Order: sequence, then structure tokens, then C-alpha cells
Amino acid sequence: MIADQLLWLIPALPFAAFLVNGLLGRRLTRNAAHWPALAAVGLAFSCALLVLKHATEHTAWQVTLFTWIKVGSFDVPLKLSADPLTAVMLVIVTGVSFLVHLYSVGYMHGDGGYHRFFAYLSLFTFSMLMLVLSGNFLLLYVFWEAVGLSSYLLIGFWFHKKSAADAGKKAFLVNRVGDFGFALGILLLIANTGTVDYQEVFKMAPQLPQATVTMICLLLFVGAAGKSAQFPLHVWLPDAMEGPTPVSALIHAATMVTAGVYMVARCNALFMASPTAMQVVAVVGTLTAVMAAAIALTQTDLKRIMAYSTVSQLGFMFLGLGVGAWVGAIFHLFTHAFFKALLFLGSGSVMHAIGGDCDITRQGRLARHIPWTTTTFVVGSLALAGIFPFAGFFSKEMILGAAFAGHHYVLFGFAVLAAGGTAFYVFRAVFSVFFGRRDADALHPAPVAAAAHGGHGDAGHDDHGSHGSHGGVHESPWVMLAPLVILAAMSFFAGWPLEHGFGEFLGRVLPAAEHGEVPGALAAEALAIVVALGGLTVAWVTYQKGRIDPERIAASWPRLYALSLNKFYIDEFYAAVIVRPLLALARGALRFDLGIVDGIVNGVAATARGWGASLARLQTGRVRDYLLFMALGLAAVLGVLLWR
Amino acid sequence: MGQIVFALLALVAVASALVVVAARRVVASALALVLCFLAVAGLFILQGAEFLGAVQIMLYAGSIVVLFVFVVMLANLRGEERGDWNGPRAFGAALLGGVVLAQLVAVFARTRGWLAAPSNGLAPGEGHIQVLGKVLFRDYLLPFEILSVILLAALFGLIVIGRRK
Amino acid sequence: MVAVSWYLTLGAVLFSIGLVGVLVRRNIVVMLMSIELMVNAVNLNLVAFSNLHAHYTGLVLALFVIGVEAAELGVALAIILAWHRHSGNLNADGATLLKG
Repeated sequence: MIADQLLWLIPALPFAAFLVNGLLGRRLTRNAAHWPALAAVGLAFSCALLVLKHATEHTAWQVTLFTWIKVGSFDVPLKLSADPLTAVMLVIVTGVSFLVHLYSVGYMHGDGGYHRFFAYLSLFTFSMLMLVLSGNFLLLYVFWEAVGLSSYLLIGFWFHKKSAADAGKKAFLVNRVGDFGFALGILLLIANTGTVDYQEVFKMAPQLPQATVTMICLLLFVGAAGKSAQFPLHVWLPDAMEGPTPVSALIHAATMVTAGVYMVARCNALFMASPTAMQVVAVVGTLTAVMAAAIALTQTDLKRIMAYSTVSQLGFMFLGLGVGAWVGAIFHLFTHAFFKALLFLGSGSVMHAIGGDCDITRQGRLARHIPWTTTTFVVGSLALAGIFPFAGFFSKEMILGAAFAGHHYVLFGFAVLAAGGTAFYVFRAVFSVFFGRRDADALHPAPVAAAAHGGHGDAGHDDHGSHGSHGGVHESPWVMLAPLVILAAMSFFAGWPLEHGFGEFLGRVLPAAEHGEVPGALAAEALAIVVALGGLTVAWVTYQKGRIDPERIAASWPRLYALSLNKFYIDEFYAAVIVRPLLALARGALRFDLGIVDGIVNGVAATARGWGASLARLQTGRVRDYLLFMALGLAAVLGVLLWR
Repeated sequence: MGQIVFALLALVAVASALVVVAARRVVASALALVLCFLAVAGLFILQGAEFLGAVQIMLYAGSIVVLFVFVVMLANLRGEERGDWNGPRAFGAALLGGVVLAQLVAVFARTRGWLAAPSNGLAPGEGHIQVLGKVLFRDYLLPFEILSVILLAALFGLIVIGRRK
Repeated sequence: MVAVSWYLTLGAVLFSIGLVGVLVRRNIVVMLMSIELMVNAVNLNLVAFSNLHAHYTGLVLALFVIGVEAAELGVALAIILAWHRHSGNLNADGATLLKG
């Protein structure tokens, strides 16, 4: 069946591209490395569309490639499965990946690790696709890790830079914590059901005791929190901005971080069996959404703002999952993938224009220099803020509506607050960078310094945008603008027309949300709209019109401001409570290993040598001494003989 | 009567042995060695092994000690050795010697008791030479011939080694 | 007559004296002489035992010992002469090439 072949073909294509670029990149593809990668992902995207079409007619199908593990009654085949949820994820992953590949042709131009970049991108795409296509938990876990690995490789892509290498490590280690919980969850699952296959587990889910299911779900959620940067495992995502911007767009906005959301959605049967777990998910999601939005209010690094925004929006998605709005959460995942990727790529375009600077306080009035970037960026921002009729509005409404309808009023309130904050911080950035009263030209005299151009080849804190050859603030090349335009179009059109079809499509595999007509539902919707617009207006007034002075506000509430600016000191807390004791422990262990273990081993050797040296002194070379020993031996033998 | 002779010979043997071992001058040691050999020869004869006693005198006392003296002369030694008997080494060796002596005596004293046997144990009527003659060329012919070969080999050997290059 | 044990005792005494001599003296020639002492003591014992058992074996053995000793001494003395030519003295402690 052609649909079966498509299932393994889709991930195989980027994997092949990875092999080509990884093994032959240095010699063969060098500066043409993007061709195999683009071709592979493009083809994969077409296949994904075919799968989508097939999924509208048939609900679910599987393909077993071969038996992977078979021990007694524990049987784990390499099984790929597809259903509407998978189809949607496939389209998102291949689509955004393709656009990011295209964008990278321009963005990473001239970088010394060009072929390595595309190899890693392909590897990541392959891993993510396999993650989504997995038919059992073990396979999921394997590619969960693979995605984490790819993320590490890409974050630390400019590994010569210490901050980048550290960020990669941090991402991997924090993920590991989450993965540990995930693994425990899977083990608990195996212990209680004896299988890792999705179908079988979900069938058995309602029969398991409540406490067990809750425990399993909570552990699985720990894994999701790690991968999707929820509190308290969110700390790696802002640091991950050290990686190239296309990486941030692909991995930390659209795909990898959504793996957690996907996983919870996939396990809806388990979570539905445990209201406690769902409550935890919703609360953590909301908490994260609010906290991240609060931090984003004061950040000055454009990419960091976007990073916290991602964390916040992921929180929204988990809120959606937790209150039972399964379709809504996935829909938000869908729209978010587009507009957040757009915002990140747009940030990259901005940085390219002005020579690598990310600081929004050092920019202004760029609109007239880079119109395309500006327009697409504004579209993305409107979508993020949830303004009608952009896509973000519809997806956010699904979640907020479900929260309200499910009587989770407190969560609803906080979520609305976060939405307002979202609108504010994103437009703060927009006005500061593209419009506003400062003049970027005054801050960045053209031509952009040749020093920035030296970033090519390796380091460059993302001062990859700079091309010293053409001076001044300039628009990006078409390879970078085209994806922006496409994504902007999706951010506009993906909302209203798709909302209904989406719900129907996914409704076949995801349970429906509570929908009863609750009094005040309409008012709640209106409230959300008003708050979003309000946030936008405040930002406009402050940063465009200058009527409110942000500095004075910051000075009035210094402690709140400090909390926000310093990310609530969570990193510092971790450093003191976890990192430093662990390092001390490691140092102690090192001392133990060197001193005692090595000491024992060396001591044995030294002792042997010492004894050997001592005994060697018997070999004097003098015949008389040897005779003496013979005589002693004689006396000894005689003595023994006499004893008997 | 035999006991007195034995005692005398034994005394001479032991005394000369002590001189061999302890004498300062090598030539003195050599001469004392001759005396010892002679005493031992006498003891052989006392026990009825006349031929052996004669051989002892001829070979040992006669040729071998002469060889020793030749070597000493050729080496042109002053012949004075100092300090061998000082120090812990000598003391230890003497102690060791005493221990071995005690052990050796104990070996035969304990196993069989104090042995008293006829000193003249050969078949009466037969002299030593007759016995040896019969035995050497009958039962022990092969070892006898091999001994000749050994002597020949030794001859070659010492000519080769002793050559002046 | 004299008990055989006396002969054996005498043999043991001569053997011990020879042993001490070999261990203590540094002069090679004297060491060799001490060894001869020991061999003689052995011969004495052989004859004594032959007496005890009224059998000729001990005598024959003693004869062969004397013969072999003669051969051995010849070679040994040649070696000593060569050694003397090489090192100029007769000190046994000088031959330490096998040290260590």
C-alpha cells in the first residue's frame, strides 16, 4: 500500500540527506550542502501532504518494519503508526523544516560549518519525524533522546564560543532530568501493562488503578516538561538562543519543544483516566505561561523575548491539554509553529540587517529600511497577540473557551492575564525595533563595521547577519524573505478557515472538549479580546508615542522589575542548590579516585617494585654468597628431615 | 690398639683440616691439606681398604696437592690473606657449620643408634685388591670406562682453558 | 674395634670444617681446598658404610669419586689460572658479572 511506504519514506529522506552531508559534506557538498537537504525535506513535505490526504479517508494505519526486541513475552517491533494527529504533526514538521532550510541558505551563507549545519538539520528532522511516527513508547523514547541530541548539536553549533557550548550542555542536562522522569513513567507503564505498544496501553488504561495511572501520567509529564520547557525545567530554552536563529525557529519554536505537547495529546487515554494529572498539567501550564510572560516584559534581547514567549505559549498549550481542550491545544501548536517560526526568522532577518545586534533598546525606526521584514514581523506579532482575524486568535480562543467552560475560572483569569502580557511585550519589541522614536541610523552608523563581518567561519554571536561588503541597514536576500512571506500568509489564513475542519479532523482521534453553554462564555471571549487589544495599546502608547515612561515605571517597582529582569533568579537558585553541590561532589569523587583508587593500584605496583628491589639485593654476583645460601638450604633440608 | 691409632689419625686429620681452613698463608693451607689426606689414607687402611688408601696417597696427597702448589706458585701470591675471619660473616658461617655438624650427627645417631660394627668388614681371606679387581672389571665396567672418558675430556678441557692466548 | 659411628662422626666433622672454609675464605684456591676436604669426608663415610654392610659398593664408589675429583680439580685449577691472568688476584669476590 502506498500509504505504508510513505510512512517510512518520510523520515528516510532526511536521514539520507544527513548521511550525505555528514559523511561527504566536507569533500563533496561543501557550499552546495543545501541541495540534498532541501530536496530531501521538500520531498518529505510532499509525502506528508499525501499522508494527510490519506488520513482524511482512513482513520489510522500502521507499518511494522521489523522486530526490534523480542524477550519472552516482551515484544517491541519497529512500528510506525499514522492517524490524523500524526498527519498534522508531519505536515508541520516537514513544512517548517523546509522553510527553515531555505532560510538557512541565506542566513548561514559563508559559515565554515555550512555542510555540518545542514547535516544536523537533517538529523533533527529525521529524529522528529520518527518521534511523531513511533508506534510504541520505547521507539518514542529513543527518538525523544535523538531529538535532544540534535538540539544539543545545533545549539552548540558554534562550539568555539564558550557560551554556546555551555548552552548546549545546559539544554541536554536539563532535558536529561525530564527524560529520567519520562523513563520512569515508561517503566511503570511496562510494569503495569506488560507492553509498550500505544494501542494496547491505551486500551488497558481505564482498567488500571487510579493511583498508578496518576503516577504514570505525572512521570510522563515530567518528561514533557523537560522537553517543552515548562516550569521548573524551562531554564534551558532562553540559553538555547546561543544557537543560530534558524535553529531557534525550527527546534525551539515549532517542533522539538512541541514534542511534549504531542506526547501528552497522544496519551490522552492515560491522562483522561487521571483527573489529578490533568489538573497538574493545567496548573503547571498556566503558571509557566504567566511567569514566562512576566519575564518577557523586561528583556531587551529580541531572541530572548521570543524564547520566553515560546515558553509562555507552550504553557498555554498545556493549559489546553489539562482542561480537556485536546483539539484546541494541538490547533494552537499548529498556529504557533507558523507565527513563532515567523517571528524568529524575522528576528534573524533584523539582525542580518543591522549586523548581528539583538538589543531592542539599540534599535528603532527600521521599518523604512526593511519593509518586507517589518510587515511579516508585524503579522506574526498580531497572530501571537491573538488579534482577530489572525490565526493565533482562533487557537487561543479554543483554549480559553474550554478553560472557562470547564469551570477553571482561576486558570482562565491567569491565562487572560498572560495573554495581555503577551500582546504587550511583543508589541513593545515591534515598536522599539521597527517604529518608535529612536533612530537606528544614529545608533548604527553605516557601513556596518568590518569587524562584524569577521564573524564568518565560526564564532559570531549570531552576528551572522552581517555582510560588511554592503554597508548600512539593508533588506535580506530573497531566500530569507520567501519563508517569511509564506509563514506570514499561514499566520493569517490558518485561523478561521481551518478551525472547523481541524476540529473535525482531529476529533476522530482526540476526545472533544467540554462544550456546554456556560453563562458568561461570550463575555469571557470578549474579555480576552479586550485584554489583548489593551496590551497592544499600552505598548503603543509607551513605546511609540512615548506618553508613559517605562524607566519611571521600572523605578517605581524596583523589586518587581528586578525579579522580572533576572528571570525570577531561578537559574541562580539552581546554581546554588544543585549545580554547586554536584560539582563539589564531583570534585570529591575525583579526589577519591585519584587518591584512593589510584593510590591503591599504584601502591600495589610500588609495593611489588619495592619487594622486587629488595629481593634483587640477594643477587650479589658473589659466589661465596650463593654458597652461603646453598649451605643454609642444606641445613634447612636436614632440619626438615630430622623433624620427621 | 686400633682405637689409639684411630684416635691419633682422627686428631691429625681434624687439626690439619682446621689449619687448611684457617691458615693465613695459602702454602700453609696446601701443606696442611697434604697432612690431612695422609691421615685419611691411614684411616682407609685401618678399615681394611688398603688399595683405596694407596690410591688416596698417590692421587690426592701426591698429585692433587702438588697441582695446588703449582697453581699457587704460578699465581705468584704473597700468600697472605687478611680479615677473612673477622666480621659477622665468619661468625655466621661457623654457626652454620656447627648446626650442620649437629644435624649430620643427629641423622645417623637417631636413625640407627650408635653403630658398632666390625671395622674389618670384608670377607676374610680376600684382600681389598682382589675384591676391587673382580668388581671393577665385571659389574662396574661401564662406569670405569666412562671415568676414563671423563679424565680424557678433563684433560682436553684444562689444556684449552689453561692456554695462554 | 672402633665403632663405625666414630668414623661417621669424624666424617661429619671434616665435612663441617670444609663447609665453613668454603663459606668464609675469599681466596679461590683455599676454597677449592676446602671443597676437597668435604669430598674426603664423604669418602670416609662411604668406606665406613661399606664396612658396616660388609659390601664392596662403598669402596667402588669411593674410588670413582677420587677419579672424578681428579678430573674436576684439573679443570678447576685451569680456570683459576685463567682467572688469575684476567684479574691479577685470586679473590673470589671479584667475579660479580652475575650481579643483580
